[in-house]
Amino acid sequence: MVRYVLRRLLQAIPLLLIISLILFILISNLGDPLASFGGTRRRLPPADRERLTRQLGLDRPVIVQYCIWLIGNDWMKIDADGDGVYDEYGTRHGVLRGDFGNSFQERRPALEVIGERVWNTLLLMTTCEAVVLIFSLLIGIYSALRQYSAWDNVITAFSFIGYSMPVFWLSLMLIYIFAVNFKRWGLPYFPVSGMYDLGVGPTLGQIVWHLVLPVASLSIVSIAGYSRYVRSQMLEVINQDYIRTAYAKGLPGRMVILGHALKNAALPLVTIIGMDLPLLLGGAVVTEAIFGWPGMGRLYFKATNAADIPVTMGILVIISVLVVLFQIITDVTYTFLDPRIRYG
Amino acid sequence: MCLKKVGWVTISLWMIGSLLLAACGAPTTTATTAAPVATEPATQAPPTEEPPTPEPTAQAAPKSVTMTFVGGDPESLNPIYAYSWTAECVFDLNLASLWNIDNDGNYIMDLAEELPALENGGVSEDGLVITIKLKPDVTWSDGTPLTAQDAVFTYDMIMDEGNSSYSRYPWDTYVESLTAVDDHTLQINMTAPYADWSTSLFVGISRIIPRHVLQPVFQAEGTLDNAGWNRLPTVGSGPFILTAFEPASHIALAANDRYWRGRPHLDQIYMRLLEDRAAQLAALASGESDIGSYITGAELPTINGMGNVDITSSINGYQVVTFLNVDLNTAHPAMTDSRVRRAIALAWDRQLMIDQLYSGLYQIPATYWHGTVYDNPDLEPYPYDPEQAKALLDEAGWIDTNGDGVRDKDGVELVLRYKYVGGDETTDTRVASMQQMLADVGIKMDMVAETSEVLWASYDEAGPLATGDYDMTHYSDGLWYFPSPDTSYFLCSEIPTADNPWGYNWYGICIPALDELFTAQAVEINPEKRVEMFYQIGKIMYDETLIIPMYTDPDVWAVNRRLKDVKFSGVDPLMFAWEWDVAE
Repeated sequence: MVRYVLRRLLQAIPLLLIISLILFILISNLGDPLASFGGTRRRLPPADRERLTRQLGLDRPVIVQYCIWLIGNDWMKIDADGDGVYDEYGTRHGVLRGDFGNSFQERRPALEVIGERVWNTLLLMTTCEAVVLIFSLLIGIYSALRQYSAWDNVITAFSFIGYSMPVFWLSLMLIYIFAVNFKRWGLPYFPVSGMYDLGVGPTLGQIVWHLVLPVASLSIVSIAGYSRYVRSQMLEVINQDYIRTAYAKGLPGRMVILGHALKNAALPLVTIIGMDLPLLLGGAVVTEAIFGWPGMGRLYFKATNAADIPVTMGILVIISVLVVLFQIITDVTYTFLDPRIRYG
Repeated sequence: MCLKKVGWVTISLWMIGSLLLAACGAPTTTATTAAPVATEPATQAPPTEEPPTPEPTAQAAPKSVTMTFVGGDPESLNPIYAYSWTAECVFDLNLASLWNIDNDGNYIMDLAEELPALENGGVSEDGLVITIKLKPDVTWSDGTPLTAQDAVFTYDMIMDEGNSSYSRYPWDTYVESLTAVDDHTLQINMTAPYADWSTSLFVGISRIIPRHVLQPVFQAEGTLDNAGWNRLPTVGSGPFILTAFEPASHIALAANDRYWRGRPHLDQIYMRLLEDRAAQLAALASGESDIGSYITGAELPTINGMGNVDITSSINGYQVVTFLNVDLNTAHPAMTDSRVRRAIALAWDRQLMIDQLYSGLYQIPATYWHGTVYDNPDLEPYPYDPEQAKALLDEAGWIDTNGDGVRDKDGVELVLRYKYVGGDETTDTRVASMQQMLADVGIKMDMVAETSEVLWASYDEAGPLATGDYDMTHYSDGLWYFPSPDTSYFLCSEIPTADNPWGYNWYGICIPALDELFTAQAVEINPEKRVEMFYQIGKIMYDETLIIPMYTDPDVWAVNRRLKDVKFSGVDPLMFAWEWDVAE
């Protein structure tokens, strides 16, 4: 197993390099990073455009920009003052030495910009994922065990309703009902936006209170989808012979369901969760924007729109690394859930 | 049993993890109001005096105001790197300007004693030397005196190669040097007379930065690009001091006890940084936000329905303009005839669109200089007169000869491509109504919705506007240094070419008389003469119908009625924040 994991990790290195090169070329062609300078109110004068193009390193071919992004330019001379003479060593260390470069927009390290959002996003998305898993398992198992009962039909109907609701619409509805109108009606109400009341500060209670609506809006749609998936997987498994055998041996129903049925039904679910987890870091653009949650989704959206290559690349490379790592973890998890699976 | 245990352990771990995440939270950048940035110690004069004793407000709750901004984060809070409107609003609160300009065009002195002029010797006869007297008793929020040396340092930093400052204009074009004659006398030596010095040099988004804080950083690193002050400028000179900036969340400011006008009435201002307009409306409705920004006409009915929010607007030099491609090399043949262009203007019922789609919030300008003293008072906005439009088209020879409902001439159909940034429901509706109004006079208009990246791409990237691959377009644009009237948009030399791919003149406007006037006004330091020149410019552009101003695009604010004395300016939006107060 250890050899297998090591082999997968070594294979991941060239894969990540190829991914980063492709991403860099694609992002470099997203648009002109200087086009957003000045916003809609002031366009960049040509002399400034020329100077900034040089200062931000955009005057070089894309492949050279990629190399500098990867290994830095502190070993090569650059034309820092624009006089045409390459007389100073650069200051970039490159991603391989932990330097993702400075954000074009904010002129500070891209990792610092990303780091400010990571915890907020993880807080929102892991809470959401946990809520989704707990509720979808409970609902899915309950529905499967009571197939075609009145409750199963009610849950099925609500699942379809939940699954059909666009997140932006659901978010706005939750705000207008539980924040705006509840306040008008004199009921306890939820906040509209942000992570905490600015007058109170980031206390635990404030953050939990502000999490409720965004987590609800993100979870409802996912719970609806996942619970249907759990239901169908459970239905498939509980009709298997070995489940009947387990019952025939006199095992308690709860042990049969949780110990045998769910364990086998969970295998495809683990695959989906394995793919979901690294993407959690990407945040949720729409929900974050509507609830004013300072997460990675908004940052990614903003950085992509502004063609802020260092920040966009930073986010995508981190996610790529996590995708590869979680795929390995998922594969290893299979062996615990299904002893028939062996990796040599 | 084992599974049960694992389940509980998992849930417990998740809860502990969540608590830890909540406890860590985002690394909010905060600071106390009086202390300078720890890594950037003051090396010059120590505080000259103790801060005035705060008013006895300990018993009462702090007077706080929360504003919402839907423009996203400011890219930097250092004026040499910033360009966004949100940043400009922050500067109105935390960095003083030489003077501010109110909605009536009055110059209200801030750091300067008086406005330099020929009469008071502040401007030399040849316009090449401007001498500015600074108020002697102004200090930074940490007590260090604010002097002419700070202004010279700011100029040096803008021009230094080590700093990737946003723009050096107009410093690199018109300014030869800055000299601190003494601590409170600043002399600006120009390379040529520059008509807009009073609206662009240490005014508006251009502000003086604290030398005593930033010079040590520059000396140590050779650049200000990574200075902590850029993100958290805790030392300022405005009525408020920045105390926290959490990206994508908020900016917090507290009253500056050392503000030269005295302590502002409010204790705190929070600027919530949002990106969703519906979220801003919800925040206004729930009372979470006291002041909403960038309100659109389409949002007016919702805000009026809230009952506790008033609307106020300021002309800011921006307007939504229909730009026409009149370039002889690329334009539709009809668009090179001013009669056809005028017919288009007459065919559009702009007031109807404003009333129906924007709740009557906007005005119809006659010229590009609406709301300034440079707007020619003899010119009235083009009226809605479809019959005259038809007559003009007939006169120009565009007649429907083949009976297909579209006018034609010499075998060319009068079909025009209207390219615009689509996706906004109200805009799409407006353009569709413009299409219908043109159809009523026999002009077919094809609506082509594009993304802004495609439409506004450069000449190098074959952008439709830059290469003249369009007939009509619209967007909101205006005067960069409002209320300065200067613009480079309509100069022949600014028509994009392979040699000048970033030229501003996407419309192919090239009239020698206009060129001469634009060139002359830029260096005309006699205000009356300059006004006269713009009257002529406005007249030429109006008579030729080179652009069609659709409606003003002012700064529109929504203000909760619990506040009082809240005023804004279209030039320096939050210049009056020091006198805002809470009514209840």
